Parts: sequence; C-alpha cells; structure tokens
Amino acid sequence: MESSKHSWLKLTLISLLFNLILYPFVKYSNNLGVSSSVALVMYFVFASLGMIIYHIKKKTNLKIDKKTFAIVILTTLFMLVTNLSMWQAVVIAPNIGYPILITQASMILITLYAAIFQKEEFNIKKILSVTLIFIGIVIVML
Amino acid sequence: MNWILLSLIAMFFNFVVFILIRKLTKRMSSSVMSLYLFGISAIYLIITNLILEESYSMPKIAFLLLTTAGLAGSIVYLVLYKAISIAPNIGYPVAVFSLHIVITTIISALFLGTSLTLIKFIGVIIAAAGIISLILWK
Repeated sequence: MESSKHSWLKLTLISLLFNLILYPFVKYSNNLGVSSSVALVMYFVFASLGMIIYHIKKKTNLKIDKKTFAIVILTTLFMLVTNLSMWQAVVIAPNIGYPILITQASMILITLYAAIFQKEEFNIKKILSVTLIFIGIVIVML
Repeated sequence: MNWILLSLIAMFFNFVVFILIRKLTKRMSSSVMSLYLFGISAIYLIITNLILEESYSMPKIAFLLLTTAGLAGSIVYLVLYKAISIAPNIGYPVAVFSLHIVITTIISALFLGTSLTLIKFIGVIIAAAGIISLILWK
C-alpha cells in the first residue's frame, strides 16, 4: 500500500516536471519567431512519435471501430480549437500561467454539466470550490 | 484577438473535449486514445499549415526546444495515465498535477521576464486551490 502510494506520487511528479518545460519552451520559441501554430505542429508530431515508440514496445493493439473513430475525429477538432486558442493566448498573455489557468477553469463548466445533466450531487464543497475558481480567474482577468 | 478572449474560447472547448474524452475512455484505453488524438491533430495541422503556407524555418535552438517539448508531452500523458491507474483515487494524481498552473506562473515571471503582480498571483493561487479542491472532493 505504502509502495503504491509512493509510486503514483513519483509518477505524477515526473509527469508534472516534464509538463513544466512545455509552455516556457513554446513562449521562448515564439520570442525567436516561431508561430504558435507551427510550434503546435512540432509538439503534436514529436509527442505522437514518442507515443508510437511506446506502443510499438508494448505491442499494443491499435485497432478501433468506426464509431469510436468518428468520436476521435470530433474530439480532435475540438482539441485543436482548444490548443490553438490557448497556445496563441500563451504567447501574447502578460504571464503564460494566466491562459493555462483560465483553460483549466473549464472544471466549473464540467461540474455544472455533471450537476444538471448527470444529476451529480452539487454540495457545499463543490459550490465553495467553483466560487474559489471563479474569484481567482476574475482577479487574473482584471 | 486578446489573450482573455482566446483563453475563454479555450476554456469552453476544453469542456467539450472533456465530455467527449469521457465517452472515448469507455471505448478505448487512455494511451491509445492519446496517440490517435495527437497523431490526427498533427496530420490536420500539417495540412492546414501547408495550405496557409506557414514557414517552418526556425533557429536550431527553437527546433530543439519544440522537439523536447513534444517528446516531453508524450511522457507527460503516458506517465500521468500510469499514475492515475495505480493511485488509490484518480483525483490525487490529477490534483497534484494541477500544481503546474502555479509553478508555470512563477517560472514565467522568473525566467521569461513576464509580468506577475502580487494581486494576480493571489488570484492564481485562489483559482488553483479551487481546482484542486474540486478534484479531491469529487
């Protein structure tokens, strides 16, 4: 149990550490004249390469059915709009953390969606959390 | 377009992506899903940039940074999914991972010379606390 706790924490911290280099590198590249859409191509291409290597090593079965593929295509389109908007915001914002924070604030919409359409409990703790996020992003946007 | 409007657009579409990803994770593993999403995004953007005649010429250092960022991106997702799969509660790794918002804000101010006022930093801390508590109380 203890070892499992340390394992997930160690893995999460590794993931966090690698994620920390992403946006500063994009911002620095933009300072060198690389547009956010070109930077995003580079990011997706090399991230895909990394994942392909992983799946080849793991000999993963990559087959998916047509309906799943259709949802993947739809998700990709929305994901591209998200990333293009956020990366563009990252390179022009006064601090790269602000657009990342506002994008992550989609948690508010997710919580409200779950409460309205999936009848998930919307208790005092969730109201407090949503209020904190809302106050935080209003301060950042002022 | 200003950065606030772009961020709000990203926030809305991030919500839509989350709903769709929840559907997808019931049909395929997270790591296979990531490969498809990233791979198709790459192909789509390459075609779009070709049509728009975007220039790919860049200094060597920028190429190196973006290559590293891409490879790091694959590690981020694969390692995080692994952490989520072995954690006693899926919220724990996601909550710890959310700390990147605060750390990135500090790194940006310290190493990239971007602005960070005390009041805005407090705003980041408050919102990040809200995100983390929302994840942990789910």
